[in-house]
Amino acid sequence: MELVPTTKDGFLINKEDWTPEIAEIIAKEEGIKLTEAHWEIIYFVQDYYQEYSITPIMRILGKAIGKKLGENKGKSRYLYTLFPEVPIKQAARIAGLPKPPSCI
Amino acid sequence: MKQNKTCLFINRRSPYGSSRAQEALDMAFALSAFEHKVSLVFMDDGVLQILRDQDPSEIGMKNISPAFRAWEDYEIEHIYVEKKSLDMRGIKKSDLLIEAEIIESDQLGKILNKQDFIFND
Amino acid sequence: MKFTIIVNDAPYQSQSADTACKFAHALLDEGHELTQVFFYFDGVWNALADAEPPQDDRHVVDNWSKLALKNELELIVCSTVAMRRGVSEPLAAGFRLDTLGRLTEAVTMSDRVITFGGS
Repeated sequence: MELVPTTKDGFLINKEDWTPEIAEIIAKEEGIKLTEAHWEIIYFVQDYYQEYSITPIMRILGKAIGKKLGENKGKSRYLYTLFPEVPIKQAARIAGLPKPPSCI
Repeated sequence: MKQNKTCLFINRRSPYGSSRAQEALDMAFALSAFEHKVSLVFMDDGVLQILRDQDPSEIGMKNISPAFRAWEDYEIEHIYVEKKSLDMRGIKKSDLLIEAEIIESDQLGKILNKQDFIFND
Repeated sequence: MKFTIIVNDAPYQSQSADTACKFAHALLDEGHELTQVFFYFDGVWNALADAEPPQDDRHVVDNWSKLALKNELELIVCSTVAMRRGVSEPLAAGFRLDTLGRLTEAVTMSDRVITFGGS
């Protein structure tokens, strides 16, 4: 992607550059076709980052999603069907957020 | 052996004088996310970490304080703040961005006694 | 007893890394187990492969490597903290980058977690 500046791992450098169109382009690079179900999670992690300035680790993300969107959607099996590689990493990248710290 | 340890993080440093506040919080959240029973104490300059309305953008640092509000998601057990440290700095309970348990200095010993693991930031 | 050691200071910044390494030897000599040594904060600087102190000074990094090789120990360097400071692989012998998840496992398996440095 060359439309906006990114890190070497393909994460947006300025989250202000994010648009739904850019999300589609990144998703394509990740081999993901975005559906309503994807958008729900993408907006969730964006809201979470807006609120807390962090992308939570998988376990906590699942719990938080479960609380807000219903228990089934917080299950890691569900999240892995949407984002098959590493859900939190792929969702964060498509959502235009910084790369989650790998330290966990 | 008890698997889920009680862990206490003692935060006594100002939030932006070093990366230690940020990195201590990372460790506390990681231990808690993996089922350890984590509590936090804020004392000395550490109470500044949980002050409302922080904006370190002028010095080019990331505002770390919103993350503390995620403590319920991470199931942090207790957040203690030493009263003396607040008083010395003229900080009121309502100036803090999270609901904390205000403790007297002499309660600290009892809290320390309950811990398997203590970490200073 | 099973121990985990956390090292929070850079070598030569303070005596903490030296003391931690000596403590590790002492507990192993006494027949205790050492689950893991975890390097955090500026402690990650202990893992740099190219350290070359003057010959008549002690070699902190080598001392760690020797401890690890002799006892088949894991010297775990927190990857996020290391990446923030530009500490990257290849590291000195016996050290490797890993996540805070490894520390949480070590804490689970240990009777005592002792931290060195950070004052």
